[in-house]
Amino acid sequence: MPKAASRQQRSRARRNYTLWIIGGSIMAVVVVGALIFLNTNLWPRLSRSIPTTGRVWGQAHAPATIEVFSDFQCPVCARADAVLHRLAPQYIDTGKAKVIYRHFAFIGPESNWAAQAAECAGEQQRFWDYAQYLFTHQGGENVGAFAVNNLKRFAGQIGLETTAFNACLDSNRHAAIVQQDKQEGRGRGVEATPTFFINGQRIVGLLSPDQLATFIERQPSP
Amino acid sequence: MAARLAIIMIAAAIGLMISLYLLSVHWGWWQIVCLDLGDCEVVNMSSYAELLGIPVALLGAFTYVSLLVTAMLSWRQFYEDLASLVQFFLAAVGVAFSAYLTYIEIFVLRAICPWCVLSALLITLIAGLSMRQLRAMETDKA
Repeated sequence: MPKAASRQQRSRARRNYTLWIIGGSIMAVVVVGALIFLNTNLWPRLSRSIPTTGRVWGQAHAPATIEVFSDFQCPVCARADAVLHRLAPQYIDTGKAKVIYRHFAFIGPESNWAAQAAECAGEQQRFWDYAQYLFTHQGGENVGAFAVNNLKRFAGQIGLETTAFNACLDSNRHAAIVQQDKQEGRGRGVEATPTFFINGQRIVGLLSPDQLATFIERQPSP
Repeated sequence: MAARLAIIMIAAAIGLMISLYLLSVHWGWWQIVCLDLGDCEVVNMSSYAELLGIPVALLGAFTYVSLLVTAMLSWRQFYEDLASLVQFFLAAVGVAFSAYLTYIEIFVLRAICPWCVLSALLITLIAGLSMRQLRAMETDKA
């Protein structure tokens, strides 16, 4: 093959290769950019829905919806639970507000186990009783207070059916819900506990009974 | 040529295993093993771990499987021109998305998952080798 012709062919081949590389790279960046844009702007609007996970305290038609992202090992969350119980007679039992518990188990593995345990109590319609028991029996973070054998003992203390409860906890079947709640929390900007969403408005940290009552009263009545 | 394809296939296989592991963690099958190297849970359970509702780890698994397929096609010299082009494009998309996720880890989540970093390195290696493969393929024609 004559040298001149092969050199020409070689430089043409190298030019094609460069075009493919550049073109392919640009297209890759465009595709990825478009997907990220769609994911950030379009997806949250499409997937927003009334939470069907989590545990509801109060009547479904209550106009004020209080979602609380919480960790059972978190001391401030225990105080938030006490505040909710303080307001219950006036606002929750009367159908003015409902509370939806969302798991944000981030402090350690015991948070995760406690969350699953509460869900197991929920299978026996006693979620909030068990939650209150956990909050009033905290013993420090990640020190064994909510080890699995303790969680099982608690169930007995509040009169749950222990065989079913233990089987539920051992089966790990609520692990997914606990993870999903936390994931959704992070997606909605939750970084610490407790984080409240009162009819969608995010409030971070403990609320006093008066503050929470004001928020509830401000919600439009049906 | 064969050595390059072999490395691509090995890297893709490792990437696939990592993706499947991260996917199973994302679905809550077990807790992640992080070896105290970062904060894997924050990263894998963040809102950034899904793209349009699809777990990123699943997308990664698909990408690595596709790269294995294209590499094998090239190796067998079956539609190797097309396979090499597709391979490069897929790897380029992988690099672009990995770069975005790494940026998110460092500057938004402020938490690093070493498994994700490893996957990013693997896909970058595959992209580089795919680029060289395209070059070799083109000049072979001359």
